[in-house]
Amino acid sequence: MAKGIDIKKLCELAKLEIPEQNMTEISRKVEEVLLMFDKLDDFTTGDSKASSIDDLKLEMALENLRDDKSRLDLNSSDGPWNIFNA
Amino acid sequence: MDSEDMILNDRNKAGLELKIGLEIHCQLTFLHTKLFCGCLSNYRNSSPNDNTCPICLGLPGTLPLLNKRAVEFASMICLAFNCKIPEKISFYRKNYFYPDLPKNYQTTQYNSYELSSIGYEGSIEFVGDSKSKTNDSKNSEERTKIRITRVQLEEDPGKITYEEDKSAANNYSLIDYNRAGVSLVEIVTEPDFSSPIAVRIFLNEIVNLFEYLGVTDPSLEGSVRCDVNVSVGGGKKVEIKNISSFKEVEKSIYYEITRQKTLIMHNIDVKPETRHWDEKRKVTVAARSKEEEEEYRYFPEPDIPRIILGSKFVSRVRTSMPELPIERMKRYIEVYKITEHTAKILVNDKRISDFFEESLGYHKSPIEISNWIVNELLTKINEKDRQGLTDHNTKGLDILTVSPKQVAEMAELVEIKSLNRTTAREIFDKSIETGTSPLKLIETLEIENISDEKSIVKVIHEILSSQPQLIEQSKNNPNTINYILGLIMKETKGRVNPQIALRLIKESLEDI
Amino acid sequence: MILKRLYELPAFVVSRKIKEQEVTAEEYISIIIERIKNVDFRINSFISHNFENAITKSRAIDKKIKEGTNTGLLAGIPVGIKDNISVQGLKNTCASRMLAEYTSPYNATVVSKIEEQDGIVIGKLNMDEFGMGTTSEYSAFGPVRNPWNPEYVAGGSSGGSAAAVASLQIPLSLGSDTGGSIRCPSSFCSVIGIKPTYGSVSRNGLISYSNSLEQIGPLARTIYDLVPLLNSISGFDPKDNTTINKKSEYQTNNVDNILKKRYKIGVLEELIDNSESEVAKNNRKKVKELENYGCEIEDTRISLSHYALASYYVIATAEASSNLSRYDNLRYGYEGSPEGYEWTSYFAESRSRFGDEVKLRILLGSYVLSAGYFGKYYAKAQKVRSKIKKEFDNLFNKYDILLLPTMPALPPKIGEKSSQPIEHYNLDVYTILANLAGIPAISIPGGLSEKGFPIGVQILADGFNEQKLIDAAVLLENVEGFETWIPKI
Repeated sequence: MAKGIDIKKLCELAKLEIPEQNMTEISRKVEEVLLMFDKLDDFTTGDSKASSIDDLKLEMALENLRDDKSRLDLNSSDGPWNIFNA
Repeated sequence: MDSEDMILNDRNKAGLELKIGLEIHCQLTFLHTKLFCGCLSNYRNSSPNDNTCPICLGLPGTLPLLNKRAVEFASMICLAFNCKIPEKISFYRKNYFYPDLPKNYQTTQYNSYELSSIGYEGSIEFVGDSKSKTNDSKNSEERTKIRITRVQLEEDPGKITYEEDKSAANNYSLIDYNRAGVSLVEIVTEPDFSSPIAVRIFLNEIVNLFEYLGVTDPSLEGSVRCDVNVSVGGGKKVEIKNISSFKEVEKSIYYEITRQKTLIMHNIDVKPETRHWDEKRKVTVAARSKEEEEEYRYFPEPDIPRIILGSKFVSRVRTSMPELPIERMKRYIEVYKITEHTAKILVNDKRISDFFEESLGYHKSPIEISNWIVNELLTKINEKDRQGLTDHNTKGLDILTVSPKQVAEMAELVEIKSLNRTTAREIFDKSIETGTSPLKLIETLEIENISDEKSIVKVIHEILSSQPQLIEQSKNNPNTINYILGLIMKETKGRVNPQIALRLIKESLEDI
Repeated sequence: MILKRLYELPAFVVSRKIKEQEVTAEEYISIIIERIKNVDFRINSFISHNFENAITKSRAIDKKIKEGTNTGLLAGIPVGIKDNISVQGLKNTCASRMLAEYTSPYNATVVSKIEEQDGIVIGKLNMDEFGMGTTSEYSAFGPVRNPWNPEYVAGGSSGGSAAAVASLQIPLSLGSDTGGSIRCPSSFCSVIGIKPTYGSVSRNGLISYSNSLEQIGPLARTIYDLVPLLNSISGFDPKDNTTINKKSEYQTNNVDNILKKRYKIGVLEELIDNSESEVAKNNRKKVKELENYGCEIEDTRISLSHYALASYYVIATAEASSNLSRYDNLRYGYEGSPEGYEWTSYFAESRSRFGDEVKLRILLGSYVLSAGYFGKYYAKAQKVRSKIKKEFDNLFNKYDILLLPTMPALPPKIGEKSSQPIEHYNLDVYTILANLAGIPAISIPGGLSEKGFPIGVQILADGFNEQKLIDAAVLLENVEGFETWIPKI
């Protein structure tokens, strides 16, 4: 899988410019790391039960979300950034 | 609309099936703050880039703080569209670069990897409007069912103003992030529309729905927007974006149908792509290719936990929800005994329906008031509408300076004071024109109906004593009574109630 | 005690002196500033200073004390802040040319909390660009040098945070730890550094590298200084929806009380075994020390560590590629104007100012998230991650704490590993486990190698059990005071 990555297309996608002389090196590095990533192919969960893609994701009750109050109501005096430094 | 009908007839002849789906974006304008920060949801009165903070500007280190009310508003929309609401929702990042996106990704919801969106698998029915088609109104009264794929909550990007319309000719463009981060609800339908007209009716219907829900003010420019996808004859799906108003939605669909049919006729494949609607030239123009665009690299937003709505959430939202048009219509028919036709017209525009309810507060006579609104008031509005005096996505109740009280008084005058219609209309017009109360008008103009019987009997006696031959004639010729009525009308300038007058004439003749 | 040597003392000692008006906060800050000026040109641990504000702040604290007003946990103590943590009005470069001219308009929550406790922000500390590195070589401001030997790396990515504390410039600093970025330099420089439980310290104002993995944490020369700073910064924050409302006040208990808790310690012997021989030898010595206290010790293992590195780097690069998208130099960044550009080419040109390692990680992250690869990489990495977490859950049913080396090797020479990504990433194998599982981890100084390089021992505990890590640190520090391992500089 790691071979034959289209680095130029990837650069375009990530909006990065890589000088022509660095292309070979960066391609080598990308492929080297992707090869390490491919280790994941060997991993099998064992349990057939399809788990959520993100088991460890934190959860939060709706009630604990912030109220729909404008920053002007946060009774703070330090200007437009007061949601931060209140 | 002739050419448009031709296109559709053509379609039927050629047997090409037309599938249209919509992506509707609705700003939750009635929220105080943006989706993830404390900036104002109402960005429309601020100078450029004033209504911003580190969060909505995406400054380094800032984290999104989800607005609880936004979740509740979005849920109300879901319920209005009969969607299922999951017990937990989550957010995803849609990664793409664009100067109007402060973080170069949009925080949204995405269902490919898990069920994350606030609503899914809904459906909504609507009845075709008989006004939209003249000749086969029966057909258009059929109920159309549109399936809703999903409803998702996301953030609006900023706004770019270009120096020129043609991007190539631009020396500069200006970015205003005041809108960035405003709560947006995206409603995605299945491709269940089979005509541009159905789309138009549907859009009017849902704008009304949004108004009932009290989540958005559709009269604000850009508060409700719509992307369209069109496929002809089971072919590839083409998406049309950048459509500024609902009127343009319909036009863009007609254009796209013609374009795709022309391609098919010439055996050219329709490419699956995104096209932009060029409002000035009234054509769709190819945008970037679909493949490139779909590389959005979605992944779960790590800064927002999964939100647990809980099992009681749906019932709680349901009880807190305002009355929906369909519920209101049912009430009008069942409680007020208004005809379905009239009830439908009333509820079709929340402001008219609210107007009706307010009128009832002054004079509780639903049928008479509904008649005044539907037959008199709306006719006037439609006249103005045709003159192009209204704009945006709503009908123009404000263009007439009529108060619910005025209409209530008209109904009262007609009912209690037995005012006849012609006179009533005159008073109504005068009342609208001058803003004076109809009750006052009737006093000042002294054209109150002669409803006390003694006055009428007095007139009858005057006529009979000046033309005594009528008494004799009446015994042989039944039409004499009508002749006498005519004389009374002439004498009173039509101010008597004909039914009462006829009875009194008969009584007078018998008494003699 | 000569006033000039005040910088050698632990912060809690100096703070007491300040509160008792034995010395003034202003005198202390001036001595610290002098020390930084004298030493840091050899270490390169600071990117920017906040000296003038610090002096002003110190005067205000002295005034408070004179007036008898109560002062906070950190009264008069200078704290260095890693340059990816926002301080209002200061440059916030993340050691990147991309943010060379960016000044933060707001304070990170941790910075506000430090100021609430009368701590003083003394400057911003050098690091690997955006936190991406294990050596602090990938900085636009040059590498941080190890105070024990300037030819060697200080570790990373919070290299400045560790080196400045180790070289007696400042008593306390904040770092951030995405995959070991606090613990690795702590180990390489011989300071104590903790990565708290995910969600126990606010990330508001921390410039994200990999949001689901990282936490801000304190570094100090002694556990008695570390705890007040940890207490100052932890807790729920309404400005970070990923913080958890579960605040507890950490204590530095005395040895007897700790021993009464009868901690059971699991030793990850396999990982000790796989380390460089001097690291292994040192860690076994630490196990022995704990055993001598009478702690119950047992060998155990974590079976999934083989997949951990891939899992970690997939998640980290994926999140990083998205987090770093916002740097396009349109709204902030460095001097430069988009005039005359079409936006796509402007973005690409602006973003070319990222360093090579950052570019590499953005490309990797973009690749693993691109269409068709999500299941192969990201989803799989998350599965490994949750499996590792489960494995830890099981281990913590049996043991109070787990012991393993912080780093598998001694600090490399500057330049030695920087062009070999996998070799470089392999340095993280022992530290990433805690980030993947979201559990707290501490690196405690363990002593020196034969050639005089520091070695650290790492202790892990279950989520929100920082107190156990602190207790373990107290035990180890009481065997041999850490102050015996101070570099000569």
